[in-house]
Amino acid sequence: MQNAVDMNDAPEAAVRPLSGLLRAVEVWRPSDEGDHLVWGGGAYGELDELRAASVDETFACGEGLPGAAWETRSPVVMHQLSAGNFKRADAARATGVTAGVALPCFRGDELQGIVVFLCGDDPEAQGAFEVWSRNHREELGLSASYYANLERFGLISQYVKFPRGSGLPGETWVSRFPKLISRLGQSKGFMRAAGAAADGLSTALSIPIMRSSLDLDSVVLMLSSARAPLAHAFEIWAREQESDSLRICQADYGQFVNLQPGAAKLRYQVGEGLAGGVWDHGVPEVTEELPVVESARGEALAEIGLTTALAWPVYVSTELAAVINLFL
Amino acid sequence: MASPDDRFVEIFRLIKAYPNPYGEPAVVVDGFNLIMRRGEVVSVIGHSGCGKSTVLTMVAGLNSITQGSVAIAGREVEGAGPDRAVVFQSPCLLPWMTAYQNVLLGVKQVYPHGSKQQRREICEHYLAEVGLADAMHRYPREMSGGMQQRVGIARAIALKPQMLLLDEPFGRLDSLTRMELQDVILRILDRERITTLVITHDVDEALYMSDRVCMMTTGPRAKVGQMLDLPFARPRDRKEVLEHFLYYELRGCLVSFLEQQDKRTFKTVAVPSGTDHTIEAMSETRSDFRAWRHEASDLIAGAADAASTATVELMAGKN
Ligand SMILES: Nc1ncnc2c1ncn2[C@@H]1O[C@H](COP(=O)(O)OP(=O)(O)OP(=O)(O)O)[C@@H](O)[C@H]1O
Ligand SMILES: [Mg+2]
Repeated sequence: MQNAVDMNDAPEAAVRPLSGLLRAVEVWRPSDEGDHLVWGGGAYGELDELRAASVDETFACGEGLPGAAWETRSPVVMHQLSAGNFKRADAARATGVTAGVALPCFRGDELQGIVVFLCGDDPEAQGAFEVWSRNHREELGLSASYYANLERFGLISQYVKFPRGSGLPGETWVSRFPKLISRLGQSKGFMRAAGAAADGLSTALSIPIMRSSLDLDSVVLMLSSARAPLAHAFEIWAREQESDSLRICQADYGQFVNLQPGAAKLRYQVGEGLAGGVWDHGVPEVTEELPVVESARGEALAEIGLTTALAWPVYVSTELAAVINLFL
Repeated sequence: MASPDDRFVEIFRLIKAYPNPYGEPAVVVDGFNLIMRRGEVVSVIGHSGCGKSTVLTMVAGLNSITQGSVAIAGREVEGAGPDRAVVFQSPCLLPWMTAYQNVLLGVKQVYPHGSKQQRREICEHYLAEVGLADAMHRYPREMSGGMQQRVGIARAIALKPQMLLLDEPFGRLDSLTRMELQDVILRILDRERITTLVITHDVDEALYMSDRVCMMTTGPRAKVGQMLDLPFARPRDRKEVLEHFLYYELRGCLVSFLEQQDKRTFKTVAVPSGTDHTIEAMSETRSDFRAWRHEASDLIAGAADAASTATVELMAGKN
């Protein structure tokens, strides 16, 4: 009984992980022999059946969703997981997971891991993944996308192109560094702001996927809504200039603005916290014990129920440029 | 696969800095990038003063380039040349010459070895194309603004340019003449496949005339904000375009981009007499803003009749 009372006393904001658009996230790593991908951790919210179908799964290069991202070295968006090349179609059907996105993490030519996002088709869910790739006119155009309840925005985006330096994708092409834009509706930097605002989008995270140090493969945009956020918090970590410590260079805490002041002062050494761990090992990681991993601010995170997180490294060629944290 | 025609015009990181009153460089255009396919029509929209004419005159070679480059068919251009013909808002015809003589002037330059007969045929051909077959020998003072602009268009196209640059070519014309001239130009472009950059303040004109729309951010340091590909077939049919199932979506995309880029103009007119009037925001120009103010004062008048203490609030669009 005591527990139940505690639950009721918990702040209203307390969250259930992976209950919005994202239903599961996972990491696939090269096996020791390097000839296939093995499960490298995941968080599946309430989808136990999907977890059970995943932990012992493996993928050859080109096989299934993670294998496709490995083979092409490009982000892959897969729709209708219950029907297509998705290897775990039965589990997807049983758990209502309908679409997946895989991001490759390469350090130079060396595969570090594949990050997979799995989405449900909840009518309340809202958000998008977009892959912007170079066309023969040196513009970025939409090459793949997943839109959840964003018909208008998705429709018009097919016709939009960004030259180098223009818009969030074009800027990310130039900077070769991830970027967050909050309050999309009011943003001058987000060119499709009006459409985004009309459709309820609130936050954009852009991620450069590089083929080599200067050669851009694509820019991935994750677009999150206030109604069903892709993540409860987004952080971009990078090395602080003239010191060895890591700091947050951009963050969006959505409704959890109380996390903001502490985060601004936070400094980690390599190896410390979630981002520091990823910086150290250079591979993507999922945790379901965030308050433990983030001991420096564990209490604050536990209080609002942020237990689950995904972090992955962004490489420019062999150089680790940033680590992205998503609190789910 | 990419072909040279895909990158017929390459405008690469174009920068323009004008000296400000203190002699320091003020960067007006900062890294304008645009690649045009051969024969493509691209319209440029953006707020007044953002740098549209600056880009166009740099491409034309009439305005020095601070940094960056312009290449046509793989060759970097330097200075002005008959390969790029320009039409401005006012056609600048020589008043002591007839329409025919004005066109002939340019034709003599580009066909220095043509015979008299050949040159005459060219002039007559293009004047007929713009609908002036019967008015070739009139002087500018004997022609309406629309007719003069037709001469300007004939003069530009008679140069057989590789690129046509139009800076608000119909800006001064009434809407009927405007629509007529849009069709005149489109017909010629469909036949001659001239790669064309056209600046306009009219989103419907941009949608009707072009294959793609280039939306410029508000300066200083203006550049391309985004491009919009248009799905309408060529040759253009006005009715087909207007009835296209995406027309209003695409139009909305242009209008909301302009709204978003607008720091200065105003968005909502609220009359607290029980009714909220939101004036459809189409805030491209100052003249639109004046039109709004007009509409707003009409609203005040209307509201004042209904309630004695009506006030009108103009809410500034926030950044
Ligand atoms: N010769 C010049 N010297 C200094 N500043 C200039 C000069 N020509 C233009 N500018 C400035 O450069 C900016 C861009 O001007 P430009 O004429 O290119 O704008 P525009 O987009 O064509 O505007 P409009 O829609 O009103 O024609 C303006 O702020 C203008 O004041
Ligand atoms: Mg101008």
